Amino acid sequence: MLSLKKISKEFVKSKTLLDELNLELSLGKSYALVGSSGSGKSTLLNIISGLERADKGEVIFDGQDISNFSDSAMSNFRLLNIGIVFQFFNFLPSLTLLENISLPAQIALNKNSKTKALNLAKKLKIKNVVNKYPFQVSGGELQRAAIARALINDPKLLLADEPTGNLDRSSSEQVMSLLNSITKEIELTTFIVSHDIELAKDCDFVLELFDGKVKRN
Amino acid sequence: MKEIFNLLYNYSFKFYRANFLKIVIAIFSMAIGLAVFLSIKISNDVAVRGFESSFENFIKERTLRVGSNVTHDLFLKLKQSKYFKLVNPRYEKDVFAIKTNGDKKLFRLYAYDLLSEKVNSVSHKDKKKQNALLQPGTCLISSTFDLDFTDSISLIINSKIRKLKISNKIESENSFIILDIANYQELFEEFNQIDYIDIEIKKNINLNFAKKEIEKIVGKAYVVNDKYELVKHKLQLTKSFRLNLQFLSTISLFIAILLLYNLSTYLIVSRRKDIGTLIALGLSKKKIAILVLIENIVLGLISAILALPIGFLLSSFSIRFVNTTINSLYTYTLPTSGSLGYENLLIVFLLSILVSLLGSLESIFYSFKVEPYENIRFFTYNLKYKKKISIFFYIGVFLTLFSLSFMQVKYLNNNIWMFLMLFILILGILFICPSVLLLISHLCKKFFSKIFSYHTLLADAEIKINIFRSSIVVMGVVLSLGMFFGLSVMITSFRTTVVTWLNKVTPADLYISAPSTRENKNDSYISIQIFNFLENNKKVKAVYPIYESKVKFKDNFVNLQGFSFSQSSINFLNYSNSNGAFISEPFSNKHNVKIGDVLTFYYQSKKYEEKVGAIFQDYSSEEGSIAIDLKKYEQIFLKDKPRGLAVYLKDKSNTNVLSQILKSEYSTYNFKIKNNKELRNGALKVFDETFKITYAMQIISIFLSLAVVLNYFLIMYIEKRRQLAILKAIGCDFRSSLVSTLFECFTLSITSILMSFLLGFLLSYVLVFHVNKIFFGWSIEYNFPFKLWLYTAFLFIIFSSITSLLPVLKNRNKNITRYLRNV
Repeated sequence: MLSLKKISKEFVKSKTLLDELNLELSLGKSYALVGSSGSGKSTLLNIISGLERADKGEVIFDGQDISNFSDSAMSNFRLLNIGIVFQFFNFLPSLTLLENISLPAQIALNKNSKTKALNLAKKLKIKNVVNKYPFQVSGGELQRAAIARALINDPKLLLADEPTGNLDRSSSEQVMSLLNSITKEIELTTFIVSHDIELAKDCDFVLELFDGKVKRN
Repeated sequence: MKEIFNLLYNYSFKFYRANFLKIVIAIFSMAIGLAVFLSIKISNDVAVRGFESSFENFIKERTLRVGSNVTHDLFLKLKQSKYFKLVNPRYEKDVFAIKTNGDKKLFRLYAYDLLSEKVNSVSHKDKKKQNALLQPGTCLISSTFDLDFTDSISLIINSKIRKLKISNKIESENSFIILDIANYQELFEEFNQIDYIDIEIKKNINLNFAKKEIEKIVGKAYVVNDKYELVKHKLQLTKSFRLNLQFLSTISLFIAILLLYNLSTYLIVSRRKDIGTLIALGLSKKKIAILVLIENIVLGLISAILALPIGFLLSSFSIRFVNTTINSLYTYTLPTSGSLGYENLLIVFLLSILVSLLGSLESIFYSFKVEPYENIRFFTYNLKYKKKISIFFYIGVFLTLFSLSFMQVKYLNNNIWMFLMLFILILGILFICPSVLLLISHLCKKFFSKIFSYHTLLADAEIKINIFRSSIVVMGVVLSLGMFFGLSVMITSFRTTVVTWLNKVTPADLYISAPSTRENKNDSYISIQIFNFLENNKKVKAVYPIYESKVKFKDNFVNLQGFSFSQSSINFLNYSNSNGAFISEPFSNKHNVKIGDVLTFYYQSKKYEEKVGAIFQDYSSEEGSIAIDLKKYEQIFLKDKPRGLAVYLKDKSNTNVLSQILKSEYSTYNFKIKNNKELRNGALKVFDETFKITYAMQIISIFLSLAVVLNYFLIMYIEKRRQLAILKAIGCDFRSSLVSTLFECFTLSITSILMSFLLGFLLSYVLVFHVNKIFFGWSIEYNFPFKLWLYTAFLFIIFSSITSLLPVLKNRNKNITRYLRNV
């Protein structure tokens, strides 16, 4: 479904972060990427999502090279195909959770955005807090809402950047359990960046980023 | 304190260095407000200096002035009184001086008894120079006299050219000529009448007693005034003028506070985590508050330093407007330049501290409230705020209605109350702004949601979450644009009324008038020879004299005019009958005289009584005048001394020819000649110059409103980074972000414009129907400059839209991923 071919990225001049990296992701499988701090995990995730551009290499998504997409085309592609869950939630503080969750669907001109958002909120057990603002709910609830937002447009690929990095152990386990059950239910490809090996073990594949290259463990 | 200074160096300084752009915006915003204030303050100083220099400089304390046209016999009787220390005769005339190129220039001429009295700056320690002034045919001129004279000066006196030797020049900001009284009497051939007499009262004599003694000697026909009564009118004008300027400078300061408040709250909000960390590290909340306070004061002082050159530069422009307005409306002053002065420096620095304090109050309060674990956003909109905004709304409505009702109370209608009520009115409207902003934001979301679904949602949410800061922007714009709109209605109404009035009251083809400076309007006359020439000229269909004399009315001198009502066009506001006297509207308002009242006035020891028959429209002076029919006038006053002539020609094409004939035939006579068009254009030119200060106020208002918008969106550039990054991450493209921001701007602009319209309308109502009546005493037709309002609103929306796009455009090509990692 997704293949990265010879992806290179320099962090600063002379320091290579990703070095002719190759990676293949299959449909419906879950992948965990681990690695030390500063190894380039988040950069790789940003390149996959199109938020950052690689210096060299190709990103092929369903046979289509998305690495050369224009900014606007990339936004549109991301909107319909990729959902992202961030470590720091990244909600718009001016919107309620429901509005935040439904926003990508609204951008995609989906008329049932609200119903869909409510269904997802029910599934992720946050229906009782959807009308609250981000600052009024707990971290665990926020991350579940972030997952709901990432899933609202039925993406083919879900990217998660340290989704439990900002949560306690109990909340982390709850969030990961929900994430795994939902992604399996809808046959979604998930790519999770995490430094927590225990959480990574629940994924189908655990990958390690080392010296700018991905190794499968 | 050492701890705080350590923090200032090790934390604040580094924070500000890292946030250089924010700091530059903060400093500039405050500097602009202070600079506008400073420029107005300097202009105000210049205006006051101009007024003071035009006051009766030569009249001393414990001196009473008796006038006018006092007979020589009365002068001698006054001299004999035992209560008076000195009795000094005075003469004043407007005369033409002839330049070396032949052009004429009108100046004021004063005559004193230089032999017996020492008149401040006129007297000389140098006896030779003092004696030289007493020589026949000599005079003294002020150093600012702008003619190219060195040794002598040629004056037109009684239709003859007289050359006077200049004995010396004296320092003064005004232009004038001084003569010894003997020289004057000989030149003007006036021996039996003295223009007025200054009487210095002995130290042990009460001034009121002395006044009564003088009245016993001279009778009721003369006016006796002390120094303060003489300048009363000018003092009132000065006060009004200063109030006008102070009103605007206070508003500019208010806007400076709003701008700093906006930034200060933003800076503190952006550091909420830092503050939490510092508290967690053991710093007390009190120390945090002191730190915030010192930071703001330092910002304020830097702004003050920046404001000084900007303000001084701005003042060079505003002074020009101020000088023009004073010269046109109030009194002749020579253009003077402004100076910063220690007083202004001190005021600006003190104000910068005050503005810093007021601007940072909320932030200091917040510093006390913040908890280390707190991670909420400041000023978040929730139900609690909705209630607070409702309270603001009710207070606003109450203040607006209260001020408007209070203005209707007539006996409280004076300048101070009026300005206070204006402030309350403005405050009322500003308090309503947050509610209107929420309403419009909600309506925009509702009506446009089908076409622009999430754009309106984002715009509405951004406005709501930032409701106080968004409201401050709206308030700043409403304050400045409202002023602009209000003033524009006043100017348009005034101009339209004057144009209509001029068209009605100037039907003659040629107008000939006696020269006069603003200080004295009726001490020179048209020669009867000119009148006779015109009456016998074949080109002339008719010639009507216009008379004007000063008469005593209620201890004041007022102008009494005499002209033919059957021939002149006069616009009556109220008409009862053609008998008796007609009074101008300002006269009626100032002296509270109505139709049917009996006017009692004195002229040359005689008492006259006339019943008021009508009130007429008159915009030529704010002092007001009485008018009586020509025939009646000629019974009371001298027939051969008209102040002006209205000439009707058989063939209008002969206007210029006749004008040239008069100028060449009577080149040594004192008169000014204008055709109908020149007279009207001249009057409108004076009008426009009078309103130059108002135009300056309008420019400043626009300038301030743009500064507010620019300030808001420049901060948005920094603040929007994260929002744009999130939107991009969830698949929103650049254009969608642009549209959302435009919607936010549209809502803010529409609210600002609508509220500015409301404030402008209410202000215009107060200016046209209340302030105008208090200041000038005349009523004007309400005229609405629709096009100007619409164009301004349109241009404002364009400007704010372009400005609002800056944050999105500036962030477009930035690597946004790092903002996604910031909390």
